[in-house]
Amino acid sequence: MNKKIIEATGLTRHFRVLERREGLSGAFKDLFSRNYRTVKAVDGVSFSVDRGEILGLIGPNGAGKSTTIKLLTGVLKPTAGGVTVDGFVPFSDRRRYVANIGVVLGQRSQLWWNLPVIESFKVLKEIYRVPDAVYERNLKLFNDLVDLKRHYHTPVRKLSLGQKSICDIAASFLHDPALIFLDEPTIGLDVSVKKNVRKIIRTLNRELGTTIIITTHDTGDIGNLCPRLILIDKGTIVYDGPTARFNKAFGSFRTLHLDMSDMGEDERGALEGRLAGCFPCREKISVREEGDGWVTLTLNQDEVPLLDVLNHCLKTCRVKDVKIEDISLEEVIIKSYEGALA
Amino acid sequence: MRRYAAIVRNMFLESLNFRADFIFMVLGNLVGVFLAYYLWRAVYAGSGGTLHGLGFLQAFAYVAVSGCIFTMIETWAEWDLAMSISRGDIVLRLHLPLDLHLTTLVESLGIFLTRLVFTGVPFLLLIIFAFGVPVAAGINLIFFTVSLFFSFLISFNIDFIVGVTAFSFESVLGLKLIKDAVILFLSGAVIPLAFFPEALRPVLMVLPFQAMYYTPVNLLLGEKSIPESVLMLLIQAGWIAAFMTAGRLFHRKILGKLTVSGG
Amino acid sequence: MVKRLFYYWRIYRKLTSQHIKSRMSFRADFLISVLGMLALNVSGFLSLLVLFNTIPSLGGWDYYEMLFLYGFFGLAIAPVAILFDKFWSLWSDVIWGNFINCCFKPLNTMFYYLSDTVDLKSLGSLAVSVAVFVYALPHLRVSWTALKVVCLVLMYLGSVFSFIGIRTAVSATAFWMGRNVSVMNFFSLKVEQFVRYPLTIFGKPFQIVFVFVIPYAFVAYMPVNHLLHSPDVSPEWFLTPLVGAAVFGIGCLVWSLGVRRYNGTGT
Repeated sequence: MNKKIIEATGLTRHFRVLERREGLSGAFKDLFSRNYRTVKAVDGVSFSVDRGEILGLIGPNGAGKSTTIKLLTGVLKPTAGGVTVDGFVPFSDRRRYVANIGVVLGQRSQLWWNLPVIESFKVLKEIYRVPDAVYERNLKLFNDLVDLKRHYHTPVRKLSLGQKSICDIAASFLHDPALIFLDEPTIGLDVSVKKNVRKIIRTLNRELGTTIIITTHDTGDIGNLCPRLILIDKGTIVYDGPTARFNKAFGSFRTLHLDMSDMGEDERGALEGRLAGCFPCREKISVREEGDGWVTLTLNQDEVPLLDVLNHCLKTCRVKDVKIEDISLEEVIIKSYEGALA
Repeated sequence: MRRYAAIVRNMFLESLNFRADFIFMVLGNLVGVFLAYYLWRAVYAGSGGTLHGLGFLQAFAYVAVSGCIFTMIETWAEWDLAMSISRGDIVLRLHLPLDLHLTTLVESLGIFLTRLVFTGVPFLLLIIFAFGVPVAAGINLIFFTVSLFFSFLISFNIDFIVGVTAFSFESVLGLKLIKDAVILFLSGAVIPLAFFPEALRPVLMVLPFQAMYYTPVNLLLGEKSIPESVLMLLIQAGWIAAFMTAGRLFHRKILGKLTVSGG
Repeated sequence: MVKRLFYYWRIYRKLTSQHIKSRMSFRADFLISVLGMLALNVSGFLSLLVLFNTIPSLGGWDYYEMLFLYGFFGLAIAPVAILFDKFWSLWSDVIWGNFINCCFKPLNTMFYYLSDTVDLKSLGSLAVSVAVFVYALPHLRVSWTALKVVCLVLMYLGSVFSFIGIRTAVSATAFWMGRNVSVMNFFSLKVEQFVRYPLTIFGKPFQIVFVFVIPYAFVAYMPVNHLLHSPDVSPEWFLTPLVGAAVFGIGCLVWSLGVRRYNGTGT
């Protein structure tokens, strides 16, 4: 058996998108003529995935994540380039190929709304022709993990969001697929449920050896689940490598949001130079105007103590409000282009 | 008033947003008119020119104009209301400082007016001029316009009652089907009332349904004198008042029950 | 092939039985909506009754012939009404993206999409159609032979598949236009109200369209006309089953083009 389960080379997908006009008169004009533009959703992406791996696929909204997933699941035909998954060309062999994979789309349940959970599982058993032994073994595995039995006879529509997510994920493992795609598996869940969901994914991956690809916004998912990640922006791969290296490069970065709307634009503009003077470091502190009076500083705690910078700002500027956050995906992408991961 | 105007505008925009959808609605009416024309021509083929005192063009006018009125006043208000009740987002509306009956009415009115402008008027003109339906150009046109608006109000208030039942009853679609079937049949929208058996006609004239279709078409064709026309409008207004009162009372009663049971 | 059919049948049976079970738990809902469909169809029948009270025949068809045609049409569209009901919500599943789940299953997308819904209320229409059909049957001037009965069944199947094909193609427009309620309504509320009358009463352009473009003629008029108005079984009787197969094929083709187009829009 090939060690690589996914091999993608130069995978590309373009779309034609309708541009709607605004307002009443725009709606009238749309009745008679329409404008289209081409969007390069995925643009020459190459990567491979090993069997049994958990891979994180991250990127800001509209970066091309879900298009990539659609290409990998055989829903979309690539405009150019190609991909093979477990020996299949996804789009051409769709029906045989999808028998071998599982897909969970965050908010769009594959379970039947009005059916009790166990009945949904029974239908899936028929659809994927799961042998009784495998079916029983997997149900037992789920029960040991999360006590799914409690929900067997509850119609799916009556489950909470968290319970639904867990059932959906369990359902995707039912037929022992070689590969599972999880699209935003923890979106909208509260912290304890998130933890539970991650535990299930990790355990099932270990027990069943399933390859898993996760797309997410949640850096918690990445840190806790995926040893490797691919960062996508504007349809191209920005980073593909160990999560550890990624965290080492960005883990100590913080963004500091300061409300300086009481100050003049010139004063705010001078901030970057002044900070560079006071805190000399290899990578200077980046300062970005948000346009509404807020200023965003991005700094590396390994080089500059966050509190010193904050103190300096509070002393020298009129600051109305402060927020501290982990580095945002957008900042990561900017830094990556600047060579932070090289 | 401004906020209600905003709702109307939104509904208007929304219905324009779907271009092909809109074109098909127009096309549907066009084909419907033509097919009805042929059907009634076949009905009159063996007759000596009139059946039950109606000439072919008159019978056709009753059916075609009724069809046209149906597409204007059928705004699915009961369905939208029931959906928003069963989904639970009705709570959002109940919390707004707006009256539910009035908000629903205004939304429905937005749809009605859009349909009036884009399908109603063009099709009335088509029916009258392309097929040569004899319509006098006098005060009857004003009576017709008022009567059309009254038809919408009767229809809407019946819809409101049906929609509100969704608070305590889950089969609104079933009720809607029954309602539409009964109304269309008994109002003379499918078969002109003149064709109904002699014994049945007085009964049909007392029912509210003829006020929705028979009255406006009758007024359009201008066959009644002015006092008679005014009387017909007054009867329509009476039905509006009756259904509106019933709807509002029913709505209040059902809401009251809900609060008591804590639903 | 047979194995595959059984595989699909097992899934279908499982899903529909579950669906019916869950619908039946809303008994009032079920009864009222069946009554609604009954009312709708009975009023259609009553309209004919009122009409034929005045005229002896319509386009050369007498009362019972007309009822037979009416009943046959109802029977031919019943399978679609009962089993293909989910077509009505296709547009919203396309717009909100839920349709994509159908692409992840190792099954035919149309089958999978339709498999979890049965429209029980249309049993009301079916009941009226059966009643009208049976009521008209003994009054027909047809000399029945075994061959004619077999042909009638074959023609019926052709009609059913013609209608499935038409409705599939019509519904699939949702993949291109999103909200297609008006298209659905155009056919089901307008056109289909008329094609249950003798085709010859409509103008030439409409006759051509209903035979060659959107073959509604084969859903009822053609087969019933052959049965009632040509005394012996002739080769043209087999036109209906053939057209049924072809139209069904075209419907499926339009559907799969639609699915491809839907997936290509990046929603």
